[in-house]
Amino acid sequence: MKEVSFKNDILPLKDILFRLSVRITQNREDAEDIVQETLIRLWNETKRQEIDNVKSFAMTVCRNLSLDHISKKEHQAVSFEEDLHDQVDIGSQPDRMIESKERYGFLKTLIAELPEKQRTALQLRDIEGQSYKEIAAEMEISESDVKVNIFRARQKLKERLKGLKK
Amino acid sequence: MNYTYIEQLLERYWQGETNLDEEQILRSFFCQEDVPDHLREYAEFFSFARDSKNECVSEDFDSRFADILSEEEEKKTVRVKAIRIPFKTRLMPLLKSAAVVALTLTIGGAALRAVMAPEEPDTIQLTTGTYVQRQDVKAVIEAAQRSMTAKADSISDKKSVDSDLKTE
Repeated sequence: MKEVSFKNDILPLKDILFRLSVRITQNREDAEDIVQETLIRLWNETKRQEIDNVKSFAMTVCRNLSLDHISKKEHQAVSFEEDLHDQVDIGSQPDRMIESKERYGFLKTLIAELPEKQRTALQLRDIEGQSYKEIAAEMEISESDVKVNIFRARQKLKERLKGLKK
Repeated sequence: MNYTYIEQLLERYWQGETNLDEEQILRSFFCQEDVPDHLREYAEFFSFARDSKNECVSEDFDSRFADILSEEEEKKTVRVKAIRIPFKTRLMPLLKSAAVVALTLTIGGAALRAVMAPEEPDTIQLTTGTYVQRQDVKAVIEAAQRSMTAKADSISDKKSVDSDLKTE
């Protein structure tokens, strides 16, 4: 059985987990809490059983925790949609958003407006540079579903980016 | 400058047909300074994709996480308070076991005896070595009474003979 080290195998995953979680939750603090919980769960799980692919397992746990989190948030009558539009309303005021202090604010909002599966698939492919196979394992869907989600996400982005120019 | 290759690659990218290496070429192209105007609208997105990979947790994440981990460890640590147990208390389980065994043997023995015991014989012992049928008891008693009466009569007869002899 391969010995899993917390310092060498688990802790270095914190940033990639954070990026995944923040893309889903849209909140840095919540994402950091979820990363902490993911790392603790992962560490406890590696002590209980052998895990073939620690990174893939961690990504799946992190995604599920993030989805649970936003689901709870919705149940608490806090409108996630409203939160997003409070942050940046790109559709109605694109010029203003481009002038935003945050350089990529409007792009973050564009991605945030995508359905969760498309957003996560795009994040894992275009930002993390993962293969379709890895993404499929982490999202627990088929490779063809990953490709479909990425295709749809890119098509929407392309349209919105073109729309911004006009 | 001819950008046909990049344009074709970009089109394939939007269709989701590029591989990881080709996507890396696009990112590298769009992250350079002199991106042609007709492609500039996409440059921001590829720069964003590249820069987003550097996004990381806050600086104090590790220290906060270390605190949480130590709290978790603290929760897992089981604190045990030592208690002095007297000798009698320590022997109590043994005594209880012995009592249970004794009780089981007693009840078991009694039950076994009840089951295994032979049926009660139809005879009663009147005197040592003599067994008489139960239905004859009445006859025996009557015989004994007759015998005793006869004996008493003979004694009284003997006494009267003796007194007659004395008077003579």
